[in-house]
Amino acid sequence: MKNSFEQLKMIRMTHAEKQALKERLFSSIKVVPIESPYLVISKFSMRARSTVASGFALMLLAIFIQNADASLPGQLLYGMKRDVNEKVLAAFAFSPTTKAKVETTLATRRLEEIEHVMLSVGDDGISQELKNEVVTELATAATEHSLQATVYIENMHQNGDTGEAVILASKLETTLSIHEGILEEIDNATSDENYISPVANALAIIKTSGDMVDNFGGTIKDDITLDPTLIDEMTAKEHFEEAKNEIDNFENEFGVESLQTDTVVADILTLETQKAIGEDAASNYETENIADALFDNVNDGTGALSPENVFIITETAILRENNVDESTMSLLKSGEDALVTPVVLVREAFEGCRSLLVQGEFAASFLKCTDVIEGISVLRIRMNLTEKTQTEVSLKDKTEGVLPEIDIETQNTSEIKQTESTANLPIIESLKENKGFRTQVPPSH
Amino acid sequence: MERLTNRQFEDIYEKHADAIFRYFVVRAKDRERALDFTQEVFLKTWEYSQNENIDNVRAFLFKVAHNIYVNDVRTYGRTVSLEVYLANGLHPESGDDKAMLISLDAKRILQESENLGEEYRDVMHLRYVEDLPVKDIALIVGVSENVVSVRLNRAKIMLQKKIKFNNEE
Repeated sequence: MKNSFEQLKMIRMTHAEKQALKERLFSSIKVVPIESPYLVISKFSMRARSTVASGFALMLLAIFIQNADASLPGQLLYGMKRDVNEKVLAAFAFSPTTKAKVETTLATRRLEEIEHVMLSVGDDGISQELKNEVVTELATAATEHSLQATVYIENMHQNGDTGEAVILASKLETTLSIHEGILEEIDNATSDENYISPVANALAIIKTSGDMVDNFGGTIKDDITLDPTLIDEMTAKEHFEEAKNEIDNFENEFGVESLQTDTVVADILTLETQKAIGEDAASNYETENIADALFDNVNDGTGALSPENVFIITETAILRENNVDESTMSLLKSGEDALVTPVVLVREAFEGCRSLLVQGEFAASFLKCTDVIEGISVLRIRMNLTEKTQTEVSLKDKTEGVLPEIDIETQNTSEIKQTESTANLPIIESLKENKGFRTQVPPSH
Repeated sequence: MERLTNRQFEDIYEKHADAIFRYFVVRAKDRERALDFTQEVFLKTWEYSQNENIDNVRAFLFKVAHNIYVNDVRTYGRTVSLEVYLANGLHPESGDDKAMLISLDAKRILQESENLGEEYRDVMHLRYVEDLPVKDIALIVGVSENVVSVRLNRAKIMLQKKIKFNNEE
C-alpha cells in the first residue's frame, strides 16, 4: 500500500503547464523592489506601516478637530467648528438631556463669540458692517440654541426627569443672564453718539430669549415648590453631590483654595467693603451679638479689623436664621466687586442645601443646591471674563467714568487695548496675590 | 520569515506547485480546474506574504488549498466521478508526461480512499502522499492532532480491508 501511495506522487503538472502557470502567476503579482538597508521604515511590515500612517492621520484629524473647537469667528477653522464639529456633536446627542446640554453649550459658545468679536474691535481689519452682521448672526444662533434647549428641557420635565430639568434650566438661565450683563457692559462701553454698537441689536434678541427661559425655569421651580414629592431623597442627595462637585471643580479650575472655608469671603473683600458690611451688619442687630461686639472692638481700637473678625461679623449677619436683613443683602449684592456676591451666595446656598437635606426637606434642599450651581456658573463666567478683560481690552474705566476713546474714522482702537481696567483689577490682583487664591494664571477659557 | 521577495516566491513555487496541483487534481478530478485552483493558492499566498510572516510555507499552502476547495464545493457543489477520470488515465491531454503512468494499484488506492469519505481521504493524502506531519495536517484540516491520528488509523484499517476484500474477490 505504501508503494501505491508513493506512486501517486507521480501525479503532477506537465512541464508546459507548470511554466505557463508560473508565467501567469508572476504577471499577476507586483514586483517587489529590493529593500534599501538604509530605509529603516521598510523593515516594518506593511500592516505596521499602514497602522502608523492611519495613526498619524487620526492624530492630525484630532488636532484639527480640537483646534476647530477653539476657533473663533474670522479664523480659518471656524467654519469647520460650526458646520462639522457642532453638527456631529448634535447628531450624537440622543436623549433629551444630552440634547439640552448640547444646545446650552452651543448657545454659550455663540455668546462668548459675540464678546470676542466685540472685544477684539479695531485690530482685526473687519469692516463695521461685517461685524454688525456677524454679531447679529451669532445672537440669532444663540437664541435659537437656547430656545431649542428649553424645548428639550420641557421634554425632560414631562418625562418625569424634573430634577435634571431644573438644573439645566438654571444653568441656561444663568448663562443667558450673565452674558446679557456682559453684553450690556460692552454696549455701554462702546456706545457713543457717533458709534452704533452692533451689540444693541444682539442684546435685544438675547433678552427676549433670556426672558422666555427665565419664565420657563421659574415655572419648573414653581412646580417643585407646589409638589415637593417631585424630588425624592435620592434625587436631592445626588443634587447635593453635584453642587459639591461644582464647587470643587471651580476651586480646582481657578486655583481657589476653598469657597467653603471661613477665610475666603473675608479675604476677597476690600477693606472699605468689609467696614461697610460690618457697620451695616452691626447696625441691624442687637448689641449683644458677637458681630456687634466685634465691631465695637474694631471701632474703639480694642480689636483689630482683621479679615477673620469682619468675616464673623458678616457671617453672623447673613446666617442668623432667615432674618438676613434686606439692606445687608443688597449691600452684599451690590458689593464693589462682582466676585464677592456670588461667593457669599454660594456659601449660603450650600449651607442651606446641606441642612435642608439633613432635615428631610428634599425639594427645598434641591432648589438650594440649584442656587449653588447657578452661583458657581456666575463665578466661572465672571472669572473668565476678568481674565479676558485683563489680557484683551479695557471695557470701561469705572473709576474715572470715562469711556475709552474710539476713533470711528479709522477703527483704530489700539489705545483701548493699552488701557488697564482699573475697575476689575483690584479684586483679581488681590485674588492672585495672597488672598486665598493661588498665584498661577488660570487656564484661558 | 520576512516579506517574501520574488526570488523566494519563485523557489516556493518550484518546490510545492506539483504537490498543490496533485491535491486538487485528486479531489476535483479535473486538470484545468486543478490548475486554476493551484494558481489561486499561490496568488493568495503571495498576497498574504506581503503583509504577514509565514512560518511554515508548505503547511500554509495546503491550508489555503483546503479552504479554497471546501469553499468551491460549498459554492458550486461540483463533483466528478473518479471512475470517469480514472478511465481517462488521469491525464488524457498530456501523454508525454510520466505522471500518467501510475500503476493499477495506485489507481485502486485512489478509488478506495475516495469511497472512505472526504475526512479520511484528506488526511491519508496529506500524510501518505505528501508526507506531511500529523501536526501540520491537523492545522490544515482544522482538527486536533488526536483526531488526525485516529482518522489515519481508521482509514488505514478500512483501506486494507477493502483492498484485501477486492483482491479476494
